[in-house]
Amino acid sequence: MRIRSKKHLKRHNLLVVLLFFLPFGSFLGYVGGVFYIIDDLASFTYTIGLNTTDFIEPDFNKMAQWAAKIDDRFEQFHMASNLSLTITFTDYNYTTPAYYHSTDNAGLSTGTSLATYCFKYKAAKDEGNITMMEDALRIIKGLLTGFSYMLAVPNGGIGPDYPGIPARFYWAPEHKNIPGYEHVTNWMLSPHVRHFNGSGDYKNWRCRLYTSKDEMGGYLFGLGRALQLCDDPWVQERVKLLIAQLIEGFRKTNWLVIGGDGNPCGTDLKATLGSGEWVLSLLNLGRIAYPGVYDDLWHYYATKNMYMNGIGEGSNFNIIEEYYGWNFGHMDLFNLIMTTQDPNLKQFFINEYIQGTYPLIRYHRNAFFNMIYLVWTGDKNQTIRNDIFDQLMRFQENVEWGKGGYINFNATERPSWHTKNPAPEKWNQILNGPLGFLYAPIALEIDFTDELWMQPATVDMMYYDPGNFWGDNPFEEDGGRQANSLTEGDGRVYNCVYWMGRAYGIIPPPSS
Amino acid sequence: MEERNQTVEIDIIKELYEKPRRLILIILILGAFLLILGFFIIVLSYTVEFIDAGIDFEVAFILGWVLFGFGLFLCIKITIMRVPKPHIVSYYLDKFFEVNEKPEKSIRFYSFAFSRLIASLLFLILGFVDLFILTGGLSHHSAPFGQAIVLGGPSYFYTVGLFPSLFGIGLFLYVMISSFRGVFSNSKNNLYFHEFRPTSPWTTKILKKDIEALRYQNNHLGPKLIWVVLLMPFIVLSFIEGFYLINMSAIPRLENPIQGILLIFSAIMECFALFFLVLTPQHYFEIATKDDLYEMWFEPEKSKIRLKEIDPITEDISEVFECSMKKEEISEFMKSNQISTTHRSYTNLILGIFFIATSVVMWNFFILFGTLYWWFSIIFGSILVIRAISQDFSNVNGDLIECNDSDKILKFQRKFRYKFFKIRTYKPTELKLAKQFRKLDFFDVAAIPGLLFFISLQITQSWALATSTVLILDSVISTIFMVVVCCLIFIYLCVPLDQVKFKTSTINYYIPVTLKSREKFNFKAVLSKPLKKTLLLRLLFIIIIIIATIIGTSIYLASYFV
Repeated sequence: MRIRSKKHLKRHNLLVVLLFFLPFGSFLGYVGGVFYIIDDLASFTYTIGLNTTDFIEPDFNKMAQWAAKIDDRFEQFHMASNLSLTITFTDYNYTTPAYYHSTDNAGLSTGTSLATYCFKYKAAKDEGNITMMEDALRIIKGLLTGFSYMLAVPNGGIGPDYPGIPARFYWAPEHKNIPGYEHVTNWMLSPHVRHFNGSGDYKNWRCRLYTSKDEMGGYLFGLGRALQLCDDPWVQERVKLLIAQLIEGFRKTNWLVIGGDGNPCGTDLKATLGSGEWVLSLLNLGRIAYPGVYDDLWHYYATKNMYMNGIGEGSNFNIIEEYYGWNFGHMDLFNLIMTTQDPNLKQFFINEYIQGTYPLIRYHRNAFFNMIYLVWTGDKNQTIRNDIFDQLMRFQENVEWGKGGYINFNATERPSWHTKNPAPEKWNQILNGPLGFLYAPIALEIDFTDELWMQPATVDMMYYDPGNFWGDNPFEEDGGRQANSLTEGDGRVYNCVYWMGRAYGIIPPPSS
Repeated sequence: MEERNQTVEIDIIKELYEKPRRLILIILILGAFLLILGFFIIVLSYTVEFIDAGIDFEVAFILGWVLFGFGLFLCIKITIMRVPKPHIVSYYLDKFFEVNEKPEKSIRFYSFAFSRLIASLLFLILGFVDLFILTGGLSHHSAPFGQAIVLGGPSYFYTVGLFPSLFGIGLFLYVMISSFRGVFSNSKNNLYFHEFRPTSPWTTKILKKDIEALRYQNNHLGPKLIWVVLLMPFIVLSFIEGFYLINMSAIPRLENPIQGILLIFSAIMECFALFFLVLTPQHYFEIATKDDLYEMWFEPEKSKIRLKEIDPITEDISEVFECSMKKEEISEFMKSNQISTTHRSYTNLILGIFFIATSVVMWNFFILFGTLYWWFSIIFGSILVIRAISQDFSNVNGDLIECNDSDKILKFQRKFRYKFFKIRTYKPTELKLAKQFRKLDFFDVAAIPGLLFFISLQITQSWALATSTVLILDSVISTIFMVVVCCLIFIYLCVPLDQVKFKTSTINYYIPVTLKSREKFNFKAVLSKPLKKTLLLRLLFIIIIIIATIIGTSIYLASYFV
């Protein structure tokens, strides 16, 4: 029997309520400690500032020449299967492919490249350059064909009557005939948990599934720019079909990405706490492609489900781990903001970004993020522009060296004035100390032996990697890594920033 | 012979009083620990490769079951199997009443939380079925039927089955620990409560002259409503996700809809468990003296789970508590105050059904209001429906109020199918009919502000972005719905009920009743002095939350729109 004194009843009841919430409070206290550690590791990025003393003067003519070279090489060598791929050559003539590189992220790379050439198309149209428009349009059509197959192969066709499972990669039987594609063919034909046969007419084709938000970022970035910037009738018709297929497909699966066996693979476009931008971003495309059809659904998600609140990507955790998340996150945000038609809401999203994400990344010297910021805000800040130009100019060695386009070779060392962040070592010692076991599980996610620099690496320190620098952590890069100089990237790391700048008037056209 | 009898007496008393309680507690804690540890090892045996535990799946799996089984054995052995046998109880009582006032009436029973056991088994069945089929895989591609939360995340067991399994284990331990043999006795001057629990016997003696009032019921909800808050998220999300994933026409690549089937199965099991946790009868009494409150939950084994009639043991216990009605006649008090013998209050039921139904419509058709609103709505609606079923109705002629003119002792009784509610005062009682607002509990105070806050926030955002005719129309309809919700909340909070108020020297208690003639709602009467302050407070509460939220949201949006 429970016996309570009436005199102390209120106190007793209060104690019971406190005891009930004690486990939650304790858990929250523990989690607070985790956030404190992460904040201590990452907070230096708020205040490191920008060292502008060694900025390279921009040469816009040279930038245009490098972009043209990369574009030519891209069309000639990097979209053989209508996907944006890296290639290794047999020799330093850079004319004979040794092999194409397989990738888990063809959706991301192809989407970025598709967006790149849509920016080029817009720039050409604004500048009245018909030849450049035609060059860009050829590539856009090729990459959009690639995206079409990325949806057709797993689902049996394109359009809203088909399911909407997005692929990471696809392979067609005719790809056997592409010189240098043997490695990719063997890879796609070999058994793997992510590799499946196609559906319907494509049952003899192969696709790589278990698609992540990395890929969805590429899909939204690329398809969104094709819809908004490229007015070619074939492009418009095709991209609208793909958008409808994605939206209707996701509506039937409660916004879950489905894997090859028909079960959810974990990727969920719905918001839990914040991060409502994925659904809104896709529905924005639907509103533009099919005016009036998705308005009420979009309105419901934005206002009633409160997806418009808490827009942003990443946290200071991404400075320590999973920096790549910011790269595709920015692609999703770019699509969201650029496709938002209501000017008040557009400004609302931009302000949420400026309050939330931007303070974390403003000093990262990430030209992709900086260019996006300038496109959104129209900020006339010359320092940010010079930062972007400096980074682009640092590609000069990379592009001009040898006969390739954008190739890998030895990266430069960090300058002597760069210093290391003492916080990881400090926490490593604490966690190995007497009470450190309490927070030892953090070490499963964060590698405290990984060194962090206090200054971001610049582009020349990342030359060894022909991929996309803007997804790599500039504070982890040690610089000075060696490479073989035979591997050529698709060039989006340079061209996406460049053409975005040209399209929105931040980078002027060449004078000659 | 006498010496031998004395030795037996001492041994029995030693057994009852001098048991090593600390050892029992240690063994119980150890048993519970092994039970939980074993369960987690069973779950994590599916992840041994991923976490590089250096052990095979089969070894971990078997080890988990061994620990689980041993823990279970220890818990049962140290609890239920240690409840004293009837002959020990008899012997103890004989000895006890040799030196205490002998009882005139007495009832013995074995209290076993059968309803909790069923709920526990339901949780454990769904948990283990989910575990064996969905597995406890934690990482990329290790779960055979899809991943939850993030790409390459854990299997759906962790979102659907883990917490219900832990609830099941917790309830199981509660059933074991809470079992006891009870004896309630009524003597001339005292009430005696003997609880023969596994650790030791407990005896509570209450002097009748100290008792102000007693209530004995099997429809008391109290903190049980927390189960609604705990289980509703699992039920709703499992149903929603399950119906999506069972749709093979939407996902032609789906070879086997087992995922969707299991989610729906889990939701159904949780619904049944919720029914057993909140709606099946569990006896409860509370005795108030001037200084103390005595209360107990128990489930007489003899009563079993009856859903159509009140179990017969209730009358025996009522006799001990002296709260059974001598005559089933309508008293003068009821006649003169036009109190109906049939109680019907539809407010909770109608509001509850409204909130539940509208939530289902909202999440299915993506209209009106969004997720955060309908979570509060469906939980609050479920709580209201449960309250309605438990407390708002009586059988025809199921309500009886008896107040003796000579000693002013009140007896009240309400019966509804298998539910009953009895009150008896032991001191002279003032009794009168009064209008009084509904008494609010923790769940009302938590849910209503949440409903008002989210509905106000969402409608403000809806209007802020209503830039076309369709969206304006949507906002208009949503606003009308919001007005309806606010009116319903106003009715719930600010319309007083007809209640019988009884007052002793230290207690004021209200019992909602139904009058024979239903008068129209008289707002002026509500503004009368005793009710005015509460009415204004509650009304202001509603208005302030709505206005403050609308203004706050408008300021927030305006500051971000520029």
